[in-house]
Amino acid sequence: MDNEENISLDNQNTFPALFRFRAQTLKDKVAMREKHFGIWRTFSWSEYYLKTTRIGKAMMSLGLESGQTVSILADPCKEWMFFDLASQCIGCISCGIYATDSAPQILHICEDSDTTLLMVENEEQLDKFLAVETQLPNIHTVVVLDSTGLADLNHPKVIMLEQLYQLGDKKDENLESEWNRRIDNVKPNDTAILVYTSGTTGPPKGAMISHRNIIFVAQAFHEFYPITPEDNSVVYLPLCHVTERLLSVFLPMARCSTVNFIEGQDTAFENITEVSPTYFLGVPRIWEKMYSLITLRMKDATWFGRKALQIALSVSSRAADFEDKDISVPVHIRLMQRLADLLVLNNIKVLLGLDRVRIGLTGAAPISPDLIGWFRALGVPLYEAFGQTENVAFACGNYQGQVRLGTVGKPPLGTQLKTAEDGELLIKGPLVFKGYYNQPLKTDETIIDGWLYTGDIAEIDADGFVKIIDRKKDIIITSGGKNVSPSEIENQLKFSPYVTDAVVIGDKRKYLTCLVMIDNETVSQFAQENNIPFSDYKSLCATTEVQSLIKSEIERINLSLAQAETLKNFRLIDRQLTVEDDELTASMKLKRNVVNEKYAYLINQMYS
Amino acid sequence: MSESPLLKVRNIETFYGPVMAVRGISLDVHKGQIISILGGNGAGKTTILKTICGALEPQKGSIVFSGHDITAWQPDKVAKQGMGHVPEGRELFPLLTVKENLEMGAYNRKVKKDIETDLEMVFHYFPDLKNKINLQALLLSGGQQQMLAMGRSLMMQPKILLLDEPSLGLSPLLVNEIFDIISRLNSEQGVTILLVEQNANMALKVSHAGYVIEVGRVVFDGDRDALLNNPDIQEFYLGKKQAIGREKRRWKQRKTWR
Repeated sequence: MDNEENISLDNQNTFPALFRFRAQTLKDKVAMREKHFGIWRTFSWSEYYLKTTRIGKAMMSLGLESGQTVSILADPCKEWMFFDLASQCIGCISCGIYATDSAPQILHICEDSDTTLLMVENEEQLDKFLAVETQLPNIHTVVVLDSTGLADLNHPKVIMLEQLYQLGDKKDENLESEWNRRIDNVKPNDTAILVYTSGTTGPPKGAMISHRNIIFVAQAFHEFYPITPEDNSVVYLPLCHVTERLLSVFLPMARCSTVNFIEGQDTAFENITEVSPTYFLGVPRIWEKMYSLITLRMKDATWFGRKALQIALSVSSRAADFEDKDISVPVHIRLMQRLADLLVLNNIKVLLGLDRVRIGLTGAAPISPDLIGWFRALGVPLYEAFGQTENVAFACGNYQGQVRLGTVGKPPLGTQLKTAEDGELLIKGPLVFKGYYNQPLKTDETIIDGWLYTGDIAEIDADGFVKIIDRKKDIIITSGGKNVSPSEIENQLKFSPYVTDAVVIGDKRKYLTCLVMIDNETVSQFAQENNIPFSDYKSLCATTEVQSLIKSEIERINLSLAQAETLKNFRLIDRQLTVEDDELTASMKLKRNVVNEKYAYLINQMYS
Repeated sequence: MSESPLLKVRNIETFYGPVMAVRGISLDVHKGQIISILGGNGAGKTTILKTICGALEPQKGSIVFSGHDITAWQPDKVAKQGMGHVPEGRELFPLLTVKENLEMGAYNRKVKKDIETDLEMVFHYFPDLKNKINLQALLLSGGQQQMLAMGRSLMMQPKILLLDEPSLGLSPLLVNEIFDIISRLNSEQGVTILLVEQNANMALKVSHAGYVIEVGRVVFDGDRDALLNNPDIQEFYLGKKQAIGREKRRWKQRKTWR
């Protein structure tokens, strides 16, 4: 902690202090936009701070002490941020819960985090709390944002947001000074937020992230991706995920930029197009979806249209190649690229809402380098970055002039990286989290001598670019003794517009196989175009044409794989899965161990 | 179900201008069955029936009815093959009498004696109509009009009857009566029926199997028990609340269709 003093932003070393400073200096500048009955409404930094203050004061008058936990169970919205920051300002720990979590999952998180105040979005979320209420005696207040349908609810612990605001409006000099005192009392090393890791093994653990962690990462991020007060971003992923929290709560405050909330998951694409953000982070699934959208549209286009896109992309990708290596682009290529952009590519970017993107990021899961190449050719500066909950979502990144496809880039200044003997990536620096809440043993397993054990196998090349091979526990060793990284193969599969996700199987087996989850929309369209009769999802998966479509996709990928890595067989998962299912993570990825267990019968078919 | 279906629809696509209302639907109706098509407003149910009977032309796909490929045939030709369509909103001849309306249903037939027998059969099922035999159709009540529309279709001795929302605008008691008759027509006369309904409760009571349509696509299909036991159908079509949450809850579970 010797260099603690150096880690600050505008001389503020915690986010609550920085927030107060921003509200005083930025005043009427737009902090956030939210769509209300079809119209985008703006909220200034003053309003943002005022609302947060009212909530914070109310929380204090409800008796919340520093170090207690406030949990937030809601989809992204402005109140999410008010509660998040209000908790941090009064010295509490803010903990986000996925709105898709079930009642037992919520019980686990509230219990484990010692939650005393819970904010829920609406009736649906409140019902989850009421189902497990008796097991959560520590929660003394539940605040409901949307009171629709709850007019006749009479529950001693439940209050509506309006009532909370009224509590905060009480004229009380003490409360006012207490508020400022609490902000001043927040120490850089205090836990600011608890982030529950998705927990593919065992129940989720709460990662404690300090103010110092966040301030450092927000600064480091800026060195790679300079964001200005004029920039706009869109909030569309769950805010309890550390990546969206960094991008949408902390970075805008660090850089004074504006955030825009989507209306709901169904309208995400339209909202993104309306806002046309200037920096945009997508999980690979989002980029894959955008790519399939264009690929499918091109199938319906004329021969001329397809040819034009092909030529434009090849011209533009040559220019992108130069930029990646930080070499100035020759004039004639630059000219052709401009022309391609004007005539073809810009239209596609407008369609996707990416025409203004200066900084596009992908992270949180592996992505196919071909896909990044495609977007870069399109003229979207897409950079792959790497981070985990335990290092506040940002440990490495490609950035302008420093792009090497297939790698996750370089670490920021002040961060040390090395690989252990078995290839595991180790990270040291102010970005390493404090540990798991109430889990000293797990913490000691994860942080040894200040080095964070990431659980990822990686290679660091001579220039310092980091290449993530796979999760350590996911590496497949075939019975022939060959080490295979499943995610590399899976990424290639996911690049197909017909495949949403796949799981490669073959540990201690003679050969590799995979389970495939098809993309309902694109495969339905394929079936419709080719006159293949089907009714529901299951029957769609069962048709011979769809089976052979996926087979041909796999055969195509097999060509680019080493002999030992080729997929010898496959099965389709013929249940339409949703986030609520155990098989999927909150970001719609298949969970390897759950899938292996649940679909053991399909796997056994492929090896008998 | 080894014999080939009486009506076989494969991958039909139907457009209203640039809008694709039916997006690749396939369904089978076997002889002697009642099959229902369920779905919300604008799902494409009526469009499916109109496409089958020839009132709309599919851009794609095929319709095979009792061994003939009737895709894009004119409606009158389809009717001659033995397909009766009772459209949404009955579409009677308002100024003709009940008897004349019924005779219009038999315009294709020659043998007088047979027509007489069938007229008696219709009156057997819809005794109300017999009392109003000389009344103009526009003077009938909603329920009687529905009966007349069904009777008119029966007059052509159809192999299959397409019923489009027979319960529309009727009182609950009349709905019961109409569905009772539908069930009897099927069991006693062996009429095959393809039924489009918003009233899923009633439709599932009488049908052998069904399809659920959402935005022009089949999202679920199965026999009656499979449909009745599906949690999504129970919550969204039958209005049953599952035993979670408070008694008065207003939110709904997400549909998954499986």
